[in-house]
Amino acid sequence: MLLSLLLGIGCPPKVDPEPAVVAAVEDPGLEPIVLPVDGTQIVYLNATFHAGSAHDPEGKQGLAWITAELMKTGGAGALMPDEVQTQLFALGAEIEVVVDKDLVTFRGKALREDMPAFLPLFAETITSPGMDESAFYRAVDSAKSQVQSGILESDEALGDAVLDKVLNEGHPYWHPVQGLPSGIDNIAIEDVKTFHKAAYDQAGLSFGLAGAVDEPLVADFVKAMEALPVGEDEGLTSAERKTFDTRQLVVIERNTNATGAHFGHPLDVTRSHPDYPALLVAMTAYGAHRESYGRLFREMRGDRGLNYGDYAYIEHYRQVSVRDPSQLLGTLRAQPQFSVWVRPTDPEDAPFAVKMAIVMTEELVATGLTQEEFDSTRTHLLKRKKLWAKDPGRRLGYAVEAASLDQPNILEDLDEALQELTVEQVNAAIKAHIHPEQFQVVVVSGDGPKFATTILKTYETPMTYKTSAPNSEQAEEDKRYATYRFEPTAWTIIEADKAFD
Amino acid sequence: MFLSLIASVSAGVLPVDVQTERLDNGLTIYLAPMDTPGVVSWQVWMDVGSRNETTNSRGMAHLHMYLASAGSRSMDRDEREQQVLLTGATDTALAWVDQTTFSLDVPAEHLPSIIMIEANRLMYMDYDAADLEQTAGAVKGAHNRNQANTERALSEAHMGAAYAVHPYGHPLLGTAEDIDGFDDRIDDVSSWYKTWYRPENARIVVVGDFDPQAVLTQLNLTFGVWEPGVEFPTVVQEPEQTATRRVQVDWDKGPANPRIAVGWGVPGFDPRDPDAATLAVIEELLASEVGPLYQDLVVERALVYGVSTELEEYADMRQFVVNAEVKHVDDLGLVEEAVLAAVADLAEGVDPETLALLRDSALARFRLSQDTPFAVAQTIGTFTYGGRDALAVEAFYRNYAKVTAEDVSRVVKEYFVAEHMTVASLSAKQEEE
Repeated sequence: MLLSLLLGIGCPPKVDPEPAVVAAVEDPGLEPIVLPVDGTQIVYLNATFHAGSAHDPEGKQGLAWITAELMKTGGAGALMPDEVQTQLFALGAEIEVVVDKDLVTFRGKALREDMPAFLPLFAETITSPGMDESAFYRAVDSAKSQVQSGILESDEALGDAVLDKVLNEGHPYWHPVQGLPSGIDNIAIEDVKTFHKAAYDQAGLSFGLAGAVDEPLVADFVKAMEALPVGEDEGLTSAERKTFDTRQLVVIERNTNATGAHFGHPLDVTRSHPDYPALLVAMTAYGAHRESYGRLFREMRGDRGLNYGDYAYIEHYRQVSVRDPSQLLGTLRAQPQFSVWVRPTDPEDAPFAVKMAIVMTEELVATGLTQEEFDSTRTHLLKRKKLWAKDPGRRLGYAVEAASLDQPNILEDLDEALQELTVEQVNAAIKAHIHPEQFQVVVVSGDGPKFATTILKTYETPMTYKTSAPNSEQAEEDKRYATYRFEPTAWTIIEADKAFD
Repeated sequence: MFLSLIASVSAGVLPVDVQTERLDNGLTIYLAPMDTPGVVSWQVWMDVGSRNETTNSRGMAHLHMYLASAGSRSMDRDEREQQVLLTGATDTALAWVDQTTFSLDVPAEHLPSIIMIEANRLMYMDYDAADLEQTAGAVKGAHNRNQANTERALSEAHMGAAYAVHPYGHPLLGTAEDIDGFDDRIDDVSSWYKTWYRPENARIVVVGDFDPQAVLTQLNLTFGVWEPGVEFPTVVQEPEQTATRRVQVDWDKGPANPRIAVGWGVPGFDPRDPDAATLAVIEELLASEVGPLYQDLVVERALVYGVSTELEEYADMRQFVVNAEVKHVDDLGLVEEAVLAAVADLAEGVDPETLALLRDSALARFRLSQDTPFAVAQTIGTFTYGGRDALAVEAFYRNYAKVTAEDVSRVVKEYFVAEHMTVASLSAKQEEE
């Protein structure tokens, strides 16, 4: 067993079905990622599995989410749920679970002095969860509540979830991570136990610890995780996504005062792809999440006040919380997508806003970034990287997520690629991977027919300036956006409560 | 030297020492070096929020959070964007009832540039009619987004009913009409800025990897020339509530889980007041997963998806609110009864072991949460409203650690009374048959 403290090392063991080496080799066992940090008393734990919602069986959408939730809340080892809660409370510690399409991540944080009590709670939550029956019913209710109030009652989350559905039709990514009401109703506690047994094993595990760590603690953590069966890695979904040749418009109608949009297409560039750094620079300059320097934000919100913000992504993006826009770690996917998010606008301005975002993206593909945009964005990224990992737990999160998906850890591996990049490479990557003719456009609107008729049939759909007139350059741009012909080959209007039927 | 040392706090519950300084113009500065190599959290807390608005100026505090990005006399919006971009800093702002906060996490070597950029925009904010229209459009976008959220709708209804006179009762962003009306009111908007954006109303919090002396010197040279103003307008205070108030939201935007908020008026946040610590312990007792209310409503009777409490650090008067997302609309009454029964039980007495468990747990959780310069700066900012020294953080947690079952019982009896209660509920409007 390798127990020396190594920075950034550690991958799940790869099982070779036909070992070519004849001589006996000692099984290296589980190798955690270990990131010691001086001057802190806090220990951060992370255990990540290939157990996300892409593994939900057909008709039981929600099983992965409910399994993870029940592991967290249904007791651990010999302890009942309330005993686990009481012990965690006594330590002031918490076990956090993040479920996404591919991965499920368990994170823990406690003082070093409390690790003798905390580590077994954390480990047994994963290796021998209690699966308490009443906690199971609460997990089921909780999944339903999250779908209802977290997705169906929110214009923006609904648009995002429907874009996922449209881009991933026929692919295991298609449904919300929390499941669907119809699927959740089909899940029994036996399904959860079976899923846990299949998906939570050493073969599918990537894990690590950071902060106030020492060798005995590393050894204890490894030993605790060895209680998992060796198993066979469930792996990541190998299903291929549908490709799109033409545009499609899907309008979701619900009672709302505003109209927002998401559009995009599947993308073949993961963090392992040589063009990833180029696309990262491109999307940071074009529409970094919740930042005001992106082109989309500056021109749509800044110059025109169309809405609260407009962003573009090369990875599906979940932020940590309303007040913390950092990327939630554990939500990286093996199969990414390109998307643009136009936040809700006044309904009258919505056709203009959607067309403007599409035209701006077409122009990004056609002309790319300027040398100046490229230079400043690259400089920005090289410096901003320091802030991605605000605490040792996030540093560990990046490393474990990368190991689990077998992709590079961008905290460690991005600098050199960024330094060597040129604006020509960035612009070539944009052209190679962003395809405006394939955009699938999802709009959430209070009046679906009116929105659809206006954007599809009206020659000019201008935005309204209430008091101040735009300058001549902006007026000219506006004219171009307003008269743009948006002609999808198919369009449909769906009532919100039938969005996932 | 144009500054005076107010206090220096040694690490207690906070993982840092905090030095509090005040410039001659009244601006208060909190400096807390922390072992976070290469990273600094820079935050400016303007003590202005919806609290300072009247019916004629609703939404202006929040509007200024946005307008602060429109540019200044010597640096327009694009130039500021570009300069911040080149530092790699994060750039966020938050408007709330008592404060508007401008926060940047900064690579340490760029702190001097960020100080220049931020001094420039806050001291010399500059916007014209076109900036105002664009900004109001963005605010309208945020307003529209919020309108689709049941939790927010319930909270706004609750606050509106609980504060009949105090500005805390009106929506933070203003109403849709207020927002639409900003375009024609550039003089009013600009006069608002001049009234409230002044050094006596500002606090600067710096936490992380920096040299305090160098930062102090630079702050004195930049923010030190900010001119103080005359007296601030007074805020209308809420008269004592004399009867329970009720409000119902009929949600007409599709299916929605029913919700209820049961709240009581309690005194404004003063971290040194022992009752503030006792109220925080009561929060734990009512919302914690190991507490009786959660066990009853979530685990045993399973009437709700979740129960939570809300006790924000409002300066003048607070609402202690228990929120629940209820499974069936018919159970709203049962849930309210359960909340009232749980509160009544607290008045009768608390098991000392449970009290100790929850109290110590909250203290440990607080310590564990202070592991980034941003989190520490947020704590310092939250506890030092009005320019208090940072000792207030330690005072609060010293009191917290000493809260007894008798304190809980006394505070519940004093504040959690029917006369001071406001109940808001939300349910989907039934379709007519």
